Amino acid sequence: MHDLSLHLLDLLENSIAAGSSIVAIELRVDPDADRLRLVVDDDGSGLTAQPDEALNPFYTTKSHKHVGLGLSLLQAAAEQSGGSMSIGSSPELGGARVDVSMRLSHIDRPPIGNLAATVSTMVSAHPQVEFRGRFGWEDQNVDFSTRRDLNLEDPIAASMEAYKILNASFKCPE
Amino acid sequence: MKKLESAEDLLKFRDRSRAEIDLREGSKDILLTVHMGTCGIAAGARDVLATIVEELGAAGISRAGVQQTGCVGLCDQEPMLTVTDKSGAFFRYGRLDRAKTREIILNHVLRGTVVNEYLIKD
Repeated sequence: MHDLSLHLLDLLENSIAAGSSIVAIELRVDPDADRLRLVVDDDGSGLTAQPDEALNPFYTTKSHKHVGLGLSLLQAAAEQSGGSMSIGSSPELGGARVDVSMRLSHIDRPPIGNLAATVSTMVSAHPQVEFRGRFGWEDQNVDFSTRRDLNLEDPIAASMEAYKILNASFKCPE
Repeated sequence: MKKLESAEDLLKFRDRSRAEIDLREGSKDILLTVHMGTCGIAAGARDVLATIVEELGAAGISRAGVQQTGCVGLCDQEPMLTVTDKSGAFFRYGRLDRAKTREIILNHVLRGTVVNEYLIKD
């Protein structure tokens, strides 16, 4: 994966596959503590495997393939950037939670990438799911909800609107 | 059809069926499916989907449905796009980028001409 926003897209796809109707994304960038934290919570069916098992690249719940690389790739990216990743239950939404932290200044930390493109991609194909985004960096604090902030009648128009809103409201660091 | 083994399987089946019913019953003429498994995402599926949204939005086309699905086991062909028409015939395009996707929208979706060059060959 080129950047964190693509890892995030992969996590959101997992949430959809678990039948979620609400997915909450939280990204905090804290230069003083030299940390970046990304947390994804959902109200889906939760983990069907033990966390250790789910992080094994040769474990998958899908019957037509033998590997499940998404979570293990993100874990590797977190660990090589002086951070860690944990998975478990979401205390707020009751489904799964993925919690990733990285050292912000670490030379191997992947760039954050295009968060607006990731969220708008999900809106176009899953307008029935509410995506909530809380992004914070320096004096910027974005609080976004697809259900509250978009007219979801036309998913294509809603997706373009989501991109416009997020792109204008959050300029994230590299 | 694959056996349904969990509630998630059922939800996925429901979403897929809904899209197919839209296609059959006339609210949509064509269905565009982007494969968004880990392999697809790593290869550039997000750009493919973004291009579809931009092009459909710019042309004001509402007769095309867009859906996502996971890996279909052809990881070396990602990013992929499957175009399904009203008759149920499907055309699977592979190794796409923004320019090729735009070409498929303009030719296949708007004019009904299949872009043979980008079809995945068996």
